[in-house]
Amino acid sequence: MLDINNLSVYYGKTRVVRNLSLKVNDGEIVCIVGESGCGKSTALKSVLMLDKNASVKSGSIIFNGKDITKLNSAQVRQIRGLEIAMIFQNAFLSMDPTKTIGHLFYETVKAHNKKAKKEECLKKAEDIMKKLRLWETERIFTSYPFELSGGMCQRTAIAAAMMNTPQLILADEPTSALDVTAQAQVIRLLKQVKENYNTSMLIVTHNMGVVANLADKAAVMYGGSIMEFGSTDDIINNPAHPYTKALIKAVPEMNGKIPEAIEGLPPEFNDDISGCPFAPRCSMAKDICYKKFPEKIVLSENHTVYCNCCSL
Amino acid sequence: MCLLKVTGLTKTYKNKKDIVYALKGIDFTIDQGQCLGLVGESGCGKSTTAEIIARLTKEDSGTIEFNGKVITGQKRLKCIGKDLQMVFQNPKDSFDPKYSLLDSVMMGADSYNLYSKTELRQRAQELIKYVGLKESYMNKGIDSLSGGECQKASIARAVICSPKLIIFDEATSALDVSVQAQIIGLMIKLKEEKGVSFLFITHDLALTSSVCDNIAVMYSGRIIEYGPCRKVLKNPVHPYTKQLISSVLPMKGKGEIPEFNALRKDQSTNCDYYAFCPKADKKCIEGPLQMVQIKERQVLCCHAND
Ligand SMILES: Nc1ncnc2c1ncn2[C@@H]1O[C@H](COP(=O)(O)OP(=O)(O)OP(=O)(O)O)[C@@H](O)[C@H]1O
Ligand SMILES: Nc1ncnc2c1ncn2[C@@H]1O[C@H](COP(=O)(O)OP(=O)(O)OP(=O)(O)O)[C@@H](O)[C@H]1O
Ligand SMILES: [Mg+2]
Ligand SMILES: [Mg+2]
Repeated sequence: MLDINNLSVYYGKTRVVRNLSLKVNDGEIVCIVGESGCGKSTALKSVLMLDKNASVKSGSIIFNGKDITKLNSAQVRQIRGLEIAMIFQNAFLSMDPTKTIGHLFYETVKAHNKKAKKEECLKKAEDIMKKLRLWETERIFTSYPFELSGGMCQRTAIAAAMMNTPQLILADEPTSALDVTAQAQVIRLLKQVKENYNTSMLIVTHNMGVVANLADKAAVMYGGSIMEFGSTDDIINNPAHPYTKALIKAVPEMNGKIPEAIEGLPPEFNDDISGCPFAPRCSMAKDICYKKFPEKIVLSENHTVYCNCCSL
Repeated sequence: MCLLKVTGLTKTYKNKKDIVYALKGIDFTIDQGQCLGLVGESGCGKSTTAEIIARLTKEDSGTIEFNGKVITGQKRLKCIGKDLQMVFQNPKDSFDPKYSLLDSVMMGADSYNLYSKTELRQRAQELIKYVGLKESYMNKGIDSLSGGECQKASIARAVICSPKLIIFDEATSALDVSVQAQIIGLMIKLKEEKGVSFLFITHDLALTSSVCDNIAVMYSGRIIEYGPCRKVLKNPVHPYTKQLISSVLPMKGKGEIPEFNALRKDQSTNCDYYAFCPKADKKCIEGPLQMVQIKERQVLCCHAND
């Protein structure tokens, strides 16, 4: 379905996404977790060429056999919202502040189907919204984005992404503003959509509960690269990379313990650094880790890790 | 010592057609050096409460005492000054994109003349590093930061002028778990060393258990349960609190996620949770609503606990 190959994305001269490769199969849900600022949103947005400041300098993004990096903007617009839908990290800022939510739903459908009727769109939207625990649909349709709470905006954006039954959903932290009950309902709905329509999803999240309960596979990103990739079970119960291990250890629990942070600062995006981006914060780092980007190690059929200190 | 006292806060918003009863009477206090967690259903009025306390929205009725003074009905700067700072739910929206990271953080203390220029700059640089932002980003435009980086910047800006109360409205929701842990560490340090108080609005119940002394659970414009944080999380009393805690997605062992639907028709009752409450019965239709004390906690009168 989606095959990202050796992708590098730059802001000006800074390379933020480094040689990223990632595959999402038909009907598969892949989650990306990782350090704040490591390039997750940049990678996700580049699939739809959404950031004008970002430039893809190398690599390919194959979707349904077409390389998106080679399409012109009109062709990408055709795909956007119809075949691939995007849910942004900041739902509120991604909405047009001058239009009501009802209008937003209508336009989402009309952009790809000129004959769409407003009542039908709203009926469909209402069904999806009820599943997401948005009961006051009438009021929400007549509201402007700023009249909704953070979590209401986020769920509205999720509902909008589903309006055209896309083949691929890209979601950037789709549950970060939601209470845990609504989170659970979003997960439930995304799984239903996957079952019913064989929709594939690539989802960025910081919430390990979301990963555990939603994803088939998970990718762990650090400093612009994927450091580990495997089945959800591998990543959560059997992590190999020292960063993944530290990340899982930092997940807070409801027992009042203070979670453990990783010492040190995130790495600079500097092309002179050739070693493992995590080396300066890694307790296991050896000399070689500072010199050479680690080789790929295949731990099992679906589990790969880039680390000089991990071996079979 | 009581730092913040909120009494009988109500607020309605008027949309084109509808009236939204966002707050229906909120009461709570925060002592100096204490952290109150405010959790609850999305749209239940948490941000509205925060904005009213920070004097960014006007309440319909109710009073707020901060630092010994009544601040309801007063101008923002005059009554709270540097002593109350807030981290907003949409941090990107709260910065002027024209400025760099360092300048934006420094501006948090600009109008108060607390430090000399060099001192201020140094403090800002230290804080920026402390919240986990890279040195090389000091002069980067605020607009080109990632979601989490912007949230970190907004935390640094709130902390820089040593306020007495900091309101965190979902201030950790865009951060990876390691940075979250770091921010929790910062909160505990400020509480213990400087006696700073926090109103910590979050959806992450696990995080409240590590920093909050008390927790208030909100539902539909009211606080429905209030008490010592860990005790409430361990032994919730109100049916909504129970449901909330049971919805937390576990990291181990996936199961079917149940669907939460209305269990019965919404009747006109005083209790907003009636339609969803697994324990509701006839008494709930007529029953009055009032806070009752159950051991060390307060619960909005709920017949399910009789
Ligand atoms: N400016 C406004 N105009 C109209 N209605 C509003 C406005 N601001 C908030 N509301 C409504 O008030 C209610 C409470 O909103 P609030 O933002 O306080 O919720 P919240 O508890 O912070 O939710 P979340 O967890 O989703 O951020 C919501 O129903 C919202 O739609
Ligand atoms: N428009 C821009 N110009 C320059 N640098 C940018 C721009 N947008 C993002 N960056 C930088 O690129 C890096 C990656 O940003 P990105 O938004 O992809 O991070 P992220 O992994 O999504 O982080 P978060 O979890 O905090 O959202 C960050 O260090 C950020 O500062
Ligand atoms: Mg991001
Ligand atoms: Mg809010």
